[in-house]
Amino acid sequence: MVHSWSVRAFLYQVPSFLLYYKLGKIIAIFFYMMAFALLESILVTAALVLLGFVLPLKWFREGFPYKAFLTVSVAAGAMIYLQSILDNKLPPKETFLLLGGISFAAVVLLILLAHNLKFLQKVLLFIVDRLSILLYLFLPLSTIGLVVVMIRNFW
Amino acid sequence: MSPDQLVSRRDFLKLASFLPMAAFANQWGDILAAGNTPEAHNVIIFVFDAWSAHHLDLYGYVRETMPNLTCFADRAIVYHNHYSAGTYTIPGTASLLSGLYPWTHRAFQVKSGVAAQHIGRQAFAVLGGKHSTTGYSQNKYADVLLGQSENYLDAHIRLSSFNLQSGYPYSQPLLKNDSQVAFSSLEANIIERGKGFDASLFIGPLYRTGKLYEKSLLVERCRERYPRGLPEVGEVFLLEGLVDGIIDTLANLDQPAFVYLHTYPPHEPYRPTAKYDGLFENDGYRPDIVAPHFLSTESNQADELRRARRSYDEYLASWDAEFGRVYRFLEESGLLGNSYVIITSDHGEMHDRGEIGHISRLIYTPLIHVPLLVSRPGQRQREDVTVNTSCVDLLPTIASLTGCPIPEWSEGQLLPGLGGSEDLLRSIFVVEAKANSSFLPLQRYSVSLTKDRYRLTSYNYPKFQGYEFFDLDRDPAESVDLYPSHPAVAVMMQDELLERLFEVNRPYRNNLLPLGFDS
Repeated sequence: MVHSWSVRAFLYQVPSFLLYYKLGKIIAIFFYMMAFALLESILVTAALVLLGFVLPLKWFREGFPYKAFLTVSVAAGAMIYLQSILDNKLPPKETFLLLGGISFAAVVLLILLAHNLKFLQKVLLFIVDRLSILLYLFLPLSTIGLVVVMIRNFW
Repeated sequence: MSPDQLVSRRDFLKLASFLPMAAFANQWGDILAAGNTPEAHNVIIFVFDAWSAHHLDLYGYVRETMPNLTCFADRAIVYHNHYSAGTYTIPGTASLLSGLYPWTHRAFQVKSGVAAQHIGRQAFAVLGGKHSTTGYSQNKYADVLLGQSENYLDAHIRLSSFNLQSGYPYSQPLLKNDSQVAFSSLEANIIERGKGFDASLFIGPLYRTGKLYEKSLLVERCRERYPRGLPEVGEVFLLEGLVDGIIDTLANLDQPAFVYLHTYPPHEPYRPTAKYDGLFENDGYRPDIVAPHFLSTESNQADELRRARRSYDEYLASWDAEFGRVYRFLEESGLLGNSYVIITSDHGEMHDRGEIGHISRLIYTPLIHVPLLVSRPGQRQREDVTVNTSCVDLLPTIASLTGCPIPEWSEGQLLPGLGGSEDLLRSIFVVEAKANSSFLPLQRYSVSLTKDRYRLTSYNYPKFQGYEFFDLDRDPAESVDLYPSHPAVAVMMQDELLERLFEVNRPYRNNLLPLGFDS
């Protein structure tokens, strides 16, 4: 999810990059973004794993793949909304409370639903399974990205 | 020792002991020369971002916006018709540092830099051998240009150094070898500034929220001194903190030094201090406003434009109070006595034709007429130069003043009063082409040619193509377009402009072929 969002942003910027960068630099920018996305993915995954350890076994660790997927999906939606309202000024406190409250409620509700509806679980696991194919693309790209960033800055 | 041997083994070893000294002799020569010739003077350039000469009492403005600058002018050469080569930071600063017009250095777009083949053609490279070089820009876009100069800079002061916040990940020393790509990746991309989506799904918005929260606390803390909020450049800063940083930098120079100090004020947002907030509110001055242009990107009403103009003037007055401290320091430290002090801007600012600011396709006097003051070491008398000059003249002039060879690639001339002669028929160009590719001939552009008292501007965009021609003496507000009557001067200037465009486009014409265009 993190990588896909990053690729979307990169494609959005490409027309402007083409005005002043040659292909080599544009690819370098892509690798910077992939490297950053890898670090971000590791952080998000670590946060979910931590959540699994902190919460009671039944709440999160049981059915971790679909519960983590639901949590990340709702959080991603909230973050995209937050990005859309951020400007040079901090939004009012109420906006954050509302956004946090709605997101939390949505996660709890969806997890409860999925926990009790086997069909929903199956659908979610099917999606997770399909999405995991992207790992075979993004993981090598991110690794190359890290190497590229290091080479460009240390050599 | 045989008679045919000129030097014995013993003598050779004795002579060899002098070799290390010989290796240093070259450097000693340089050091001694630097100490005994006029080239040892420092060169200190102050660039105040978005600073229009149109708003200075020094140049005849009705509001007394910068009295300390006027004091400085009493011991400087004041250039009355000095023009930037671009209408915003990147092309303006790149031209100032390189002595090249934007159509040559190709830094047209907001996040771009100078073309690879021109990176070594700039002031730090020219003066680097004789002077220690220090560069500082509070403006992140100009900082990209300093990043390109990294190899020629002894000290590159990071752009957050004098701010209250420090939040530009790309400017970390870790990424300094690749600052331009790091900038394009991280700034306004992985982490967005202002309005827009970050490429980073989670860290981006959380990081921005944290920074905005920090900013709101700082703004509240300083509300009494800055009632309209703190000055900001993505990060907030204090005018006095910025000046403290500048003074500290100047106090620790490795002389002779070449120093480039690019400050963000008086760039918008205009945030005057309490003392100057409302200073011009009831002064009765009501400037005339020209109606929006066909190419105007904003449509602010006249009252809004006047309000913005007043805020800009009050911010200038605040900045001038701080500049006074720099001026006193220069005087007391003796730097004025042994330095060329140059004060100028990268471009101007406009509050007219519906537009506030400078991100515009228009080219009019407030946007390109910038101050230029040069104080020679120990100068005591004011001198005035009224002929047209351009920011591309700075590099050859500085090179000449410091005894460096004048680069043959520079498109500028020596400034009058500093080795150059007054050329009344000098052609001065301004290029705005942010919608144009750096690799292709100029196709979407605004280009102006100022010559003597006339200005011809060519606009070439899909929705508007045409010329404007003004007599700047009779119509300084550029409100009456004389082009439709085809005066002979306009026709001659048009021929010159087209010829020049043909020339500068020549190296890029072949780049059109792979795209399917006929060259």
